Amino acid sequence: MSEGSSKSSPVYGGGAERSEAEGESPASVAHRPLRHRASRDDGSPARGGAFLQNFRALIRRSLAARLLTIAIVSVLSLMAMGVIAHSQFQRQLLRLLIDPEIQAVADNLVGNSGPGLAGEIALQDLPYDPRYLQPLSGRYFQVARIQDDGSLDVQVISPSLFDVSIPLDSKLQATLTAPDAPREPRFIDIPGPDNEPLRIVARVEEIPQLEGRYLFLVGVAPRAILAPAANLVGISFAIFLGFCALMVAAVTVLQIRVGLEPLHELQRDIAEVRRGEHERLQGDYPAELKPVTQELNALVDHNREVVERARRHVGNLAHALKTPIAVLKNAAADGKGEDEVVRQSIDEMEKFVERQLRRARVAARAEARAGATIAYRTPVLQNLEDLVFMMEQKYDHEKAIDISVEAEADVTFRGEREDLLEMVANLIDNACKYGRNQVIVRLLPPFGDCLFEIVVEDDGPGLGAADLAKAMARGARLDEAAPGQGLGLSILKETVDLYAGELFFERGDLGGLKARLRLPATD
Amino acid sequence: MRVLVVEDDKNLREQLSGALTDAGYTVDTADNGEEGQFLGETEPYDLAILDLGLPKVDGLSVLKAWRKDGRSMPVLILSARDRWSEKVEGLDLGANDYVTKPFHMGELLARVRANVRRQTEHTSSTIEVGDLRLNSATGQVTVNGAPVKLTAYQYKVLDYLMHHAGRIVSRTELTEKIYSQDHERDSNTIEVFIGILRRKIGSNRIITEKGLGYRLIDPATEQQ
Repeated sequence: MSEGSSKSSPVYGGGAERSEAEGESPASVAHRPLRHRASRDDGSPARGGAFLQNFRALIRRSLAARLLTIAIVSVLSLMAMGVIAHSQFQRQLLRLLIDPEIQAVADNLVGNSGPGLAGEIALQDLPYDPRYLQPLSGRYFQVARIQDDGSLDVQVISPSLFDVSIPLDSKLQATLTAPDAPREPRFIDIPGPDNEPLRIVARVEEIPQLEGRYLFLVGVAPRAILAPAANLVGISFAIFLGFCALMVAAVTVLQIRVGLEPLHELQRDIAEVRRGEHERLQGDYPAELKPVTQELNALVDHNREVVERARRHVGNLAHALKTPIAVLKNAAADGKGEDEVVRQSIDEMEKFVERQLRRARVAARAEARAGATIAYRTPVLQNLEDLVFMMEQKYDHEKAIDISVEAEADVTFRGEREDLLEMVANLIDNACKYGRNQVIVRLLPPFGDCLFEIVVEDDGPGLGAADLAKAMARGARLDEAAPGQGLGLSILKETVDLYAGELFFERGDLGGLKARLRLPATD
Repeated sequence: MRVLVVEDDKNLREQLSGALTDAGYTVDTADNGEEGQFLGETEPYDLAILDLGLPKVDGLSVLKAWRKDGRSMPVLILSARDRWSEKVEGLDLGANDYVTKPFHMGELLARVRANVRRQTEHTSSTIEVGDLRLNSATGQVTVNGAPVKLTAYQYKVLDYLMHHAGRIVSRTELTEKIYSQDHERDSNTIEVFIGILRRKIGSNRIITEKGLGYRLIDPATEQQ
């Protein structure tokens, strides 16, 4: 327990220290009461302030909290208005009900007053209304003689008053008993016996055959009138309150569900844009969200533009570098092996440029694919044959390599021609590089799933078990680990991933590497 | 032999020109597409080296214009653009080879050598063996009218076999003819080429004479 409080003490500690610091101000004695107040103020408003801050934070964080607050505030103010209107109405109603009665009773009392046996004021008849007789019934009267010093000498009270009198505060009494007080009856609301509200009529009269002035008071407590209906009002009011609470809850839930739904839609839409399923926000949004979506779209466009510009820039730069690299390379080659360092640097530059370009390309394709639902259809066989001829030419002067294409039937690739060529070229190029004399490219139609398969096999040395595993590992950068060994493999994998395709490496029947590329076919 | 070099980079143009001159070619140069196109259309060249990114008229347009104009000299595209789709496109437009920058001068020279037209060696520009036809002016090979795409070396092997149709050509003979100016080759290189040619023109046109060599025949007339 004490541990707990000591742990939580830092929170209070600040306040206590602060109040102590205040207390130790030079005029500490003179300010003692002030300090007392200060320390107390320090407690509750600080807590109140913290609450307010929490509330503000909540409002800032949560739209639902905002809506709920608005709903609660509006319903509460409506209820307050209702309560005010209700009490106003009740007061008017009570006046209408009470005033004529007490006036009539007062008239009756004045009329019935006369001198008693001992020269005091006496009533010849009691009012006919028996409720003035029942103790504390809420209906009272009182007759008092106004003394010369302004005090009252109560002479007659209604039996209902039992043994008390209608209390008047001194100020009211002074106004009522002033010598120049008007004769007209005055209706006043005062706290009556037992401090219950009482509406009274006050009349100052002179009674024939009696000296001095007399103050007649007749009062009716609203309670006496309302009592029979009190329960009824309470229940309906409770029902009204309950209904209000339900409405607040329902309205809030509706506001959050229905009112905030477009925000959820917007969120889903943005997520789709981010995943690259759409190019821009496409939903039809309420007018209030339109500016937001327009700005978002503008931002997306701008972003894309910037990225594209940067990419173009990199591409242009890389391409522009190629010619000078070619010049350097040829110049270095003239040195006949003397400039090994220069040649190595040039090779590095070349590889770097190559890699950057390929990366930019893959990214550009990923970008281009965002939005446009893949509507590309690329016949595979013809492109394979073109590619194979390209490869034959590429390796024509290097070595004799027999690249054969085996296909039962043509298939159509659901994707771009460029991507297909780039992926397959990568595999065939590798196969030609490492193969001795033979490369077989097989095109297998899809069966089961919608993926067709391109198998590229060579009769080269192939990869060892460890390298095979490395090549198979997802995201493996075989080309970066060993430059020259399957350059572009990682980029190839990225492209395959773009199409949700698959790429496997195995040991082939020809003894070399067998690459199996599986890509989506059109239906 | 005359070679046209169309390249806008001054240094590279001079290097190419120098290397080709050293290799014994007569070299003309152009530093923009317009001039290159004009030269290619008016002068008889044995080969053209064409850069794609050229000022005034780009390389592909120049190539298209040449082919449209009936110019059939071998064209070797030299480009920094190395997308396979771009290479295939260049080839579709009638280029004979595609070299990407940066390149080894030795490799380029080898390709130039392989692609330079051999029409000077034969007076007749068309040889026919049955329905197999080779046009040495255009470098086109057709089987029964259908064009067959051959690389420079494949073409050379077929060209030699066709010029000696019906007689046995030994491997050594072929190797010497094909690779006279190049570095040493694998012993089975010719075998591979024969395999490729058989696949492309029909396996019954080239007969293996065990221990002797190969013989190109017309299967329609020579039944065995």
